[in-house]
Amino acid sequence: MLRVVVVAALGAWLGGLVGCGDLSEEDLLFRAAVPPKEAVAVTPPGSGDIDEGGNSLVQGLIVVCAEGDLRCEAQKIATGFNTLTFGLLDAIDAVAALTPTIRERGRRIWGPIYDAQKDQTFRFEMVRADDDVTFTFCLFMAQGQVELGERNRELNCDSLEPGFLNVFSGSFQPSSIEDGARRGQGTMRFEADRVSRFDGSSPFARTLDFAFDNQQERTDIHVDVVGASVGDEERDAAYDFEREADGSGTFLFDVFADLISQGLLPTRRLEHIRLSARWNVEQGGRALGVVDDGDIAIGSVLTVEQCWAAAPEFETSYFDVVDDVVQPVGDADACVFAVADVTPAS
Amino acid sequence: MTRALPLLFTIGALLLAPGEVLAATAHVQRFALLIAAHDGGKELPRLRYAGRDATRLADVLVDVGGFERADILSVVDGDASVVLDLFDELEQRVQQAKARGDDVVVVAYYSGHAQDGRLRLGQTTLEMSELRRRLETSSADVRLGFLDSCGAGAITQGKGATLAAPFVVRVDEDLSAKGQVIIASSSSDEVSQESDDIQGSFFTHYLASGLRGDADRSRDGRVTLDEAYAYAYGRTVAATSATRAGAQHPTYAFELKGAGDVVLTNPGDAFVTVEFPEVLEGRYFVVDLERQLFVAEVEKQKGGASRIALPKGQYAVKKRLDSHLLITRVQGLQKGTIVIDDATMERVAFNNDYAKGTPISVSASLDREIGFSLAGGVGLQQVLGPVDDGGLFPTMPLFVLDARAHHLLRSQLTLDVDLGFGSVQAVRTVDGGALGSVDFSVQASEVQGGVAVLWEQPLRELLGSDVVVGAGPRMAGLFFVHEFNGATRPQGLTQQSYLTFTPGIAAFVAWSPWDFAHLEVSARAQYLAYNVDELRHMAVLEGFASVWLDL
Repeated sequence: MLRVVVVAALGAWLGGLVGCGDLSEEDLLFRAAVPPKEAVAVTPPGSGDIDEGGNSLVQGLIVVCAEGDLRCEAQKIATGFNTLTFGLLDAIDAVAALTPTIRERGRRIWGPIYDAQKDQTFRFEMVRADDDVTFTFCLFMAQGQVELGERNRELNCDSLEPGFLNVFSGSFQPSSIEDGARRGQGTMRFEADRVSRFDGSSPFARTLDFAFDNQQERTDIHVDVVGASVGDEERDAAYDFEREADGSGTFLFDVFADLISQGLLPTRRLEHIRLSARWNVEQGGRALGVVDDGDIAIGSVLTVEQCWAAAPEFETSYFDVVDDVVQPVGDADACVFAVADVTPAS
Repeated sequence: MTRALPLLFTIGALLLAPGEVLAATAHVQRFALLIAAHDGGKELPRLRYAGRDATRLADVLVDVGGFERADILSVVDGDASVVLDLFDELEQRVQQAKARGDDVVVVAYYSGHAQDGRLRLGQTTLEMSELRRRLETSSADVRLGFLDSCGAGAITQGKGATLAAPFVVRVDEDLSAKGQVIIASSSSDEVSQESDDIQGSFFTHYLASGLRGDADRSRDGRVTLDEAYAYAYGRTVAATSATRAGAQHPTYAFELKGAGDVVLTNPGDAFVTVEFPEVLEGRYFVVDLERQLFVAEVEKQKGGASRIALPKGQYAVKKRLDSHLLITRVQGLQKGTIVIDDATMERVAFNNDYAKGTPISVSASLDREIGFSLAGGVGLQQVLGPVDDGGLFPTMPLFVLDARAHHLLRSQLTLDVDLGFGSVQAVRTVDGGALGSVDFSVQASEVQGGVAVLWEQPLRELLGSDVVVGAGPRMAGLFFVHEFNGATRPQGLTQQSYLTFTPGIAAFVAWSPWDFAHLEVSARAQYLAYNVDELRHMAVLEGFASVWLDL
């Protein structure tokens, strides 16, 4: 009996050389490297606040804009963008909150994770580059339940494994994590047309490329949409958004839309819309909308100007459709910016 | 002629010699040859107390048996040729004494392994028949042989498992004309056992105790061969009945002619006599304090006084009660009789017993094994690793609950089960390399549990109480939890945890100022394999102070 006890104790004593858990220092670094929603949130005046600590967006998705309210239209466009990007980042946050399936020095892999409801398999990977400051990530999707086994380790963001598609990828360079991290600059690409293959939907665009920089309390976002579906056509679009630390900022939306669908001779041709705006610390600002092409007569442009008052009312203080028919409303001198301040470079 | 009732071979059977060995008009010369062999060959376990048995018997013979130290020949771990040479020398001395007209008594004693009718003397053997022949052909008037041995492979310190021929030598059929008695420690199908408690063999232990006086049933101050055998038989059977090897029954073979009994010792003439008066009852143990050796055991019954003889020295006499010991010091520096009185004995806790080495008897030893202790304590934990862990394992105050089962597996082995809790507000500093570092505020908590097997060893007296040290291996499970709080809480993460099972060691120093409780300072060291980010070999060091309740 004594011998059995001693042997068992000795075996357990020597066998106890392993541990398990997630008490990881590097996990915290990877978590800091996940781009936060505020880094890519487009927030023109009146958009509300982004919760810095989480991924909830205090922003109405359904906004009814008065006719010609450019600020409101900008807010609606921003809401659309934010809904998309926030959804992606929420998914990444949710995955990264799980214990990594594979934890290697400078590399974390989650999955493959099978979603039985969607009958899809996900795999998320983050890698810390040799420069120590760049983190890359990619989200793979596959239809059905896919097991990778040992190949799971070999699959990286550049791989195109049969059945797996890289649908969301990017890189992020956090600023010094001493200030709380989750700030920095980076790029992301969302392969919208690939996603549509899984759910059978029509892709709203081919790809979306985000470039963002939210270091030093300011936010600079540039989005290029390639092959955006507008009606029966595909057009590219671009969005620029800058917001300074004091809350002032600018945006420029360069998009195509069937803006004029009513009138004497409406067609389904797409109008080219450039919507630019600038606002000050109090959120009062001026917007300029320029529309051409489409149903706009060749050689003509439709220009709309709007000025609005400071938050929280955002009352329109000046409005004008620049033509000879409609008289301006309000006082242009009350605008906080001049027309030149919001005119985009051609 | 074995397994006979011990009394049968005495009265009436002893016709010739020396009952009056000590009282006869002729001078009686006594010689002894004591042989001890720890090693019985490769296939047999090494005995631990054969030499001590021989020494104990030699002391008795000198102290109360009328032997001169110079007349005792002894050999420890000698081979067969050495033993035979000593027999030759013994016979020479006997013949010289006989030439002087002395009556001669010879005692031959063997403690060691025996197997298949042979004494196992290291790598050599000696036929028992040769031993018998040497005794038979001796010129001595009375020849006494004591053989404390058996076969090999005892389970619990037994002197062998393979049964040898009965206790010894068959002398009945062709007895020599002069008297000869041979007493064996066990029968033919039994093993003779050693005991760590008494640090010797049961048989020799009780034989020696009896010769010192406890076997003197007649209260005449003399211990005869009959009394000694009866005593050793009864006590050996009783003591070994609870061992795993089973009861051990001493046997004998004799052929003596003459009248009277053989007186082996004269305790009444000893330098110091310790008397246990009629009113006393119970089991008493006598310990030589200078040598910290057990000397004698007295099982006292009401109605008659007992006496044991001791040489000059300092002793402790103690008596075990259910909950404590009674103990008294005996200064045997002047010739005389010292009377033991329970009322004047000091009452001490078992842990405070300053006279170690005393057999408590098997049954009492079993009682002692059922000992439990409970403790509560506080301490500190420090985790050391090859690199700065940035507060991954912060210094942690710990509260512990501890339970021990003493002597559970065997004597001096204690099973220890502990449970610990700790929590501390700490800062985790994560080094981001070129990104700098960031501090995370965490509430670091830990729950741990462990099982240890500790070897306990009394160390020395301190402030009138015992100091006991102990150490042994420990297996522990450690569970660490970090709950993030503060401004730098990581996104979407509330806590991290780590569970590991680790081997280690534990040690303690205990001090017993009270009967019911003791104080203890302990230390533990555990190996910690951290393998989340990378494999790091770390050490968990802990120190505690605790108060123990001894149940």
